[in-house]
Amino acid sequence: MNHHTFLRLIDPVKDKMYRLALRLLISKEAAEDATQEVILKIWNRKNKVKDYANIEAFMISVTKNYCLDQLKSKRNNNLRITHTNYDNNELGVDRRLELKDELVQIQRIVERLPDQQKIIFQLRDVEEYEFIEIAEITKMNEPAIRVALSRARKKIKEELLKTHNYGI
Amino acid sequence: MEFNEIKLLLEKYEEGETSLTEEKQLKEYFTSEEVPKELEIYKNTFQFAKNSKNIQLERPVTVNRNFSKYWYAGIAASILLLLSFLFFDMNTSNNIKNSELGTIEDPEQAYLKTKETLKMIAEVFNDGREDLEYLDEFNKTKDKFIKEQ
Repeated sequence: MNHHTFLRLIDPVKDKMYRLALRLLISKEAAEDATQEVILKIWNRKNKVKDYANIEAFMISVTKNYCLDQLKSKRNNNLRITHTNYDNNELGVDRRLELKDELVQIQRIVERLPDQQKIIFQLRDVEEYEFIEIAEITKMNEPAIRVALSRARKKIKEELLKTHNYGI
Repeated sequence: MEFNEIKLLLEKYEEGETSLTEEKQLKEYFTSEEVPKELEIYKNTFQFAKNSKNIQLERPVTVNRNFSKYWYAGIAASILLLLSFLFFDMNTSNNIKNSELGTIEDPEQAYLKTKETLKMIAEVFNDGREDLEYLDEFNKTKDKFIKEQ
């Protein structure tokens, strides 16, 4: 496989990989680096890639694992500081203004979900994968995926209800 | 779509029991139509999911970064090697120029001096050779046994 063929193979998947990386790593910069790094990783193992029945699922799966590793090493080093920021419940004026934009607010809610729920929300509600595909990517079984997804969806709604007075 | 139908689907949706087609219906409904106030909370969530799918990787990806890295390292190394040869060469030729070559002005005298020096070297060589004459004894003995053709 030469690199033109490889790039053509990766082209329809690379945005999905990037979006998952962005969901997990939040920083645009870090997500771009991660996507590039994962693509290189797959390129270096390109002879094995052919053996996978579902190449797309394999690529997304490698991205997921890579990002989780990144997060793990980050948390061990210096993520304490950002965590205390999140725990701060008193919102500053600028923060409150920002929250007026509802989509930004949902973004924040999703950011605070556990990693596993983030991944499943991203794969199902954004990328619209079938449960079988998600099972292949996450190595979880289908009922567990449904439970995590249900929790994520309920949590988003709950958080939105907390900050808004919707007439429900 | 009927209001009640949507409500039922939403219940299923929250339990994670909807199929992809049903979820697409919901997405379609909430992002295109005016929704009742009661269901407005879902509108943004579906909009958010839909928008999220439009994000694209802006930075171009490459797969030959490893190759070019070695390539650059190779070029750098060869330039360094070339420069070091050049530098070494310049240094040594400078040394010869700077070292005192001509303390003796008269060519005749210089010739004699050189001759004297070479003679001295030859003498030292010959001293060493005298010691090697013992080796002839070896040959004499050897010739007794091995006849050369």
